[in-house]
Amino acid sequence: MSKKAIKWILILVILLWTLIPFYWFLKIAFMTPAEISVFPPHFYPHKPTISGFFNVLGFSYTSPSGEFFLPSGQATQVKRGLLNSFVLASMVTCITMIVVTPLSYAFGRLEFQHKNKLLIGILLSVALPPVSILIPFYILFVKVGLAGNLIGLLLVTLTITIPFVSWMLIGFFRNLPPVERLAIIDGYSRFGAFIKIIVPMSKVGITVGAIVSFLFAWNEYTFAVVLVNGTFATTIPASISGFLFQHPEPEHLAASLIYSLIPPFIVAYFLQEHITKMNITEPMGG
Amino acid sequence: MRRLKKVKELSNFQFALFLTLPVIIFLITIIGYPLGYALWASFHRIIFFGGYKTNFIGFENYVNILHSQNFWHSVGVSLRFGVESVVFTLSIGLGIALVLAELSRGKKIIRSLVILPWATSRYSAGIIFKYLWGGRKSFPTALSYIFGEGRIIDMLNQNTVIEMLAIGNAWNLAPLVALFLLANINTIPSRLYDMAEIDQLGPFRKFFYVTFPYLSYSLFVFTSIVIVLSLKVFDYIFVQTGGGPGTVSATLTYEIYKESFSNLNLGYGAAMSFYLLFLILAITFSLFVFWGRKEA
Amino acid sequence: MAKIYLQHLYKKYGKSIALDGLDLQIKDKEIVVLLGPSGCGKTTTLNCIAGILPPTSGRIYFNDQDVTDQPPHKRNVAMVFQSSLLYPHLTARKNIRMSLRISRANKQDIDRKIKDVANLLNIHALLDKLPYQMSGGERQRVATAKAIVRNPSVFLMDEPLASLDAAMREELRVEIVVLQKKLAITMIFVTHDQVEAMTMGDRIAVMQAGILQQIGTPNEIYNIPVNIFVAGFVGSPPMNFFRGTVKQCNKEYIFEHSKFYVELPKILIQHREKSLEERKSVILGVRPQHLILLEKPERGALKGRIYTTEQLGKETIVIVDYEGKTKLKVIVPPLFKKSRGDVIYVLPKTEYIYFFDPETGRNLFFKKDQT
Repeated sequence: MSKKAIKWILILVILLWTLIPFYWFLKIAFMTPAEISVFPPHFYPHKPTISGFFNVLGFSYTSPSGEFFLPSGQATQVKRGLLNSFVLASMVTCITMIVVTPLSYAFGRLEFQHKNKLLIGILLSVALPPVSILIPFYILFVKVGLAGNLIGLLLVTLTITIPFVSWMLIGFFRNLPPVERLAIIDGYSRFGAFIKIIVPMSKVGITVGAIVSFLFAWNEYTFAVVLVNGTFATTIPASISGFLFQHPEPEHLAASLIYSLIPPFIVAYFLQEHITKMNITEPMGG
Repeated sequence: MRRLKKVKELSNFQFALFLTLPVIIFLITIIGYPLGYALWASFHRIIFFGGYKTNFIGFENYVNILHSQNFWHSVGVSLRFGVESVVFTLSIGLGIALVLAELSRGKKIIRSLVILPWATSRYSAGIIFKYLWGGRKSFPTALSYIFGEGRIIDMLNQNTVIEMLAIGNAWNLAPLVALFLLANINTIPSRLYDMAEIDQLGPFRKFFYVTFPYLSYSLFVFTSIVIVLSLKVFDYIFVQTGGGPGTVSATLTYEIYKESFSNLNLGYGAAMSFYLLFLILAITFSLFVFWGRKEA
Repeated sequence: MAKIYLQHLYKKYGKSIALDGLDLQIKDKEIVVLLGPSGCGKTTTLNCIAGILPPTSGRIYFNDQDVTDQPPHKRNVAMVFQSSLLYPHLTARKNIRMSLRISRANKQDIDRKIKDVANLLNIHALLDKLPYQMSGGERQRVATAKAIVRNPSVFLMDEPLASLDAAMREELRVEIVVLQKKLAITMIFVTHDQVEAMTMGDRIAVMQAGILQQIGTPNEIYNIPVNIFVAGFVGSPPMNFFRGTVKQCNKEYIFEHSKFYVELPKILIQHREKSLEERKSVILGVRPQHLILLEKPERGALKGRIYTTEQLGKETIVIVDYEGKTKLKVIVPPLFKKSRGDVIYVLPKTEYIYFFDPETGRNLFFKKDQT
């Protein structure tokens, strides 16, 4: 068999591996509850419907064939969840990047006392399992009144994103060409050089960091379920957990999952563009 | 004329401090305090029901844990899950990278598709794979009805559940590995492959002598990342199997959750979480010592 | 336009000493090349002159004004770095404009200056390109334009040609010298390549281990080296060295080596007897082009075998193995007929011999007032 044929077969295998899991579950979003309970399970929706997508956002829906679907009881949670997740993820991304960029720059390019100790500290935070600090966080936040609102969740998410993105970007900053010397000669102060030269130069790394922060915040489940589930500040992972444990409605679960996957999917496209440009290629086209 | 000389000499440390201090303080407070509380809690028996009471019991929690069958079982589960995740994730990630490297057309589209599993959250992956493998409506069940005598195939049964979890984990994590390895592969000078051709090396040898050396550092890094992520993951397991069937897939994180939230045995749970932390650190450290150092 | 004086510069990094009491005077409008092996302190010196690196102690004067505490832009220095460093995210034009940031020139002046400097360096076609779109030589031209656009008093270059291919290097070498003469700016140039130093410098400052070994014109450095380091570093192939003793019998001096001896003519020794008198052993140095190859032995000639020959077209290098610690290198006219393995005899041309002290390395015949 020719090399080309093998290559395309492998690509097909990879695509199947990637897409079948998505398909198998997400097809449920297009099925009626009746069809879902059929056994053996159908490979594709025989009577496809988009009712789930409306129900989950609080609208009732009448199919072309006259079937009527009630809105889901979880709809308010879902709507709030999507909105709050968006707000939370945006805030986390901004704060993380504002904080992490100088931090990674400092660790990546400057030498100073205690640097190694601090670096190890940051890395250790990445290794920390969330479940270890879950309870203390919960108790602490209840005491301080941060449970049940977004600020608490924001702070907790930052403790995940900041160490991880710092760790990612330290190597990136280390590999930049030594333009500080140029900047000093051109009369920049160290901070001025950082803001006006280094940051614009680092667009690729910063973009990757922002995307990763956004994804972490959008996808954060454990803390969300403990801190904001069922409240006004619910985020989409917490709302979805409602479908799993409180009101099992598979078609609504699948529909809300699809909604929750849209921003990450969009953002993932940009991510793969930038990762291939980051770190590895010579910034000056050497 | 300003005395700029002195300012410059001190400036490295001060400048770095200026950039990083606020963050470091933030991290220390928001992580340090709960961690400190957890440590304190681990030395106490904490009763949550009917009022909040604490008794100091020293290392009793730690000792009891070591005698607990559940604990050791869950450590075994975590390790098995972790190691299998590493094996699956790295091999699949490597495979994808190698295939993507050969791609000339349609690169963008295929790469964008391949990264989708990574953009999917851990809990979504858990849900997706629960429906894929488990229960009466699993994918293998549907296949069996099409291709032969149908029967229910529940892959999340007690014999294979951990392996299935590891496969789903690999599905979730492999794209990131693949992308970074791909970037590494793109830096390999093509001349080396020409040289291998002249030396008449077959495809396997070409891989080991030419490709692999450029990847070994990344492979080390991702082995560490995958095993840490697998040891500390909670939502993926919780959503997919809830530690089941029974307690077959109860990883250490699940066990900690159960003790702390279901049994409300907070001190005990806190102590167990420090064992988990220790396990993670020990493994990362060993990996670094036995593998990472050679790469430096 | 500046004359520069470095006074007792010390630079310590932790325990290692990069500069060990450097004293250097650079005249206005001249090109001085800082030459030496890696780690000798030449780049550290350049960075101190630029103001990027503060010295641990010592002072720096531009035109008799103490600038030691002044930042680079106040000293009005311009610098071109190794690997043609430019801001990677800016076009050539913007890169050059960055240098004029501090000057309060208005937009028209700035544009005019950029145009002038583009003319000077012939980089019009590159102005709107990004660094990664240019070749190494093009980037260096842009970096040079960026440096001179602000009319610096001092123009510093840190191994600017090191990362270029041979042809580009030769071309830019000439261009840089022409440019400097045109603009009449003091230039200090760092390199480890002695051919570069010899062709480009008005004076060469040879450095080793943080200390200035010798400063002088290329001619002086080459023909009147102050010590064995300078003698051996400058010149390619390098000078040959032999360790032996100088003996006197009846007012005749000979240099005696285990494998050969040389009768030293009176003219060479005249007025220099004192330097040779008390020495037990000396090191004789002679350049490859000052050795004669003979087919038949003559008095005291060194016997050896030809190890290999390198035909360079305009001359031939013969490498002779005489069972010493190193092999001899001799330069002969191109039509040399002997080949590998042949026995050959070697004698130095006595008017071109140097003697060095084996302990201090000092050139025994060097007089201070010859600098």
